Amino acid sequence: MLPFVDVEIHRKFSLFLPKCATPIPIFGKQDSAVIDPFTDTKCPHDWKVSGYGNATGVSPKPGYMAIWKDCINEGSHKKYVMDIPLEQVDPSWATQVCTYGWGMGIPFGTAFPGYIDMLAIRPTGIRVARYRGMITPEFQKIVGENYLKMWTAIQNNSYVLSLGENRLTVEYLAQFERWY
Amino acid sequence: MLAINKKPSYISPSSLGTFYKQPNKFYMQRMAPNPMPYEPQGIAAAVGSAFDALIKAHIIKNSTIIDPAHVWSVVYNDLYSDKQKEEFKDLSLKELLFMSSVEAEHREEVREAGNMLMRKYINNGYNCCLL
Repeated sequence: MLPFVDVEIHRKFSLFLPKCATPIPIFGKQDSAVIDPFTDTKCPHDWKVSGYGNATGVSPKPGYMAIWKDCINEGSHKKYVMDIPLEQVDPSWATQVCTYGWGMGIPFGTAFPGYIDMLAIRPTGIRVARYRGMITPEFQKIVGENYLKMWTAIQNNSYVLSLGENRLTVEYLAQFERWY
Repeated sequence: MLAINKKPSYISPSSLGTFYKQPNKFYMQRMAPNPMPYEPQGIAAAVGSAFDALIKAHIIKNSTIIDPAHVWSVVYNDLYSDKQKEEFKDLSLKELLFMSSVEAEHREEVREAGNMLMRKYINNGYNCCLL
């Protein structure tokens, strides 16, 4: 059984980046935390549900450590290796887990594992894929820089200046922006 | 320059994604005067939220280390409006998790789907050895 040690963690914290005087205020709503049996450390865990209401359903993302269907563990994905960087599975998952790890007190730049359980729904059945991936120092640097760029651009107004000149244009463009 | 009603006091992983992938929407929702409303929760998101709420309640119920009263206060204190706080103040933890994360129009429709997903998860992954 998964060793859950906390759920529904809402946390506000300041991210301090090396050689940067500006703390970045971050708010995260973390699903849960588990003890990673490989390192015996507390680390972030999140659930993803995908494919509901979709005529063809979805497949699990490549790189899972284990996958279950009808109570049977069908093993790991061919791309899975111990300590696979989580961003190789999904960069947005890794960004989320990276942020939650910092919120849990893991120092910036220290590699740590994170878990995702994905429920992949198809008309033919539901599979649960478990991902265990590392949040590498290199990836943390990228995520930290993205937060810093965002925060700085908001504070010095360069973000707003980069948008259209009037509200009507921005409102119009906003209607067509999609995640994917 | 576009008018700014307020600047965010915190940023989050989801706002980071919106900022870079939907910059105009980020401004319209988070910074503009008379902001654009957030899109209503879709049915697929509602099912995911229902599952989240139900599995969390299940884990807390079966845990000896997670304090249900603490989780209840975390969720309750983060409720958006006074109206919700009044409406939800007497709910059990399970109901509070469910009601606070699934929008009203979907609650009846997605509860069974959330339960079904939770049962599947308990038998596929949750109750299985991590290693």
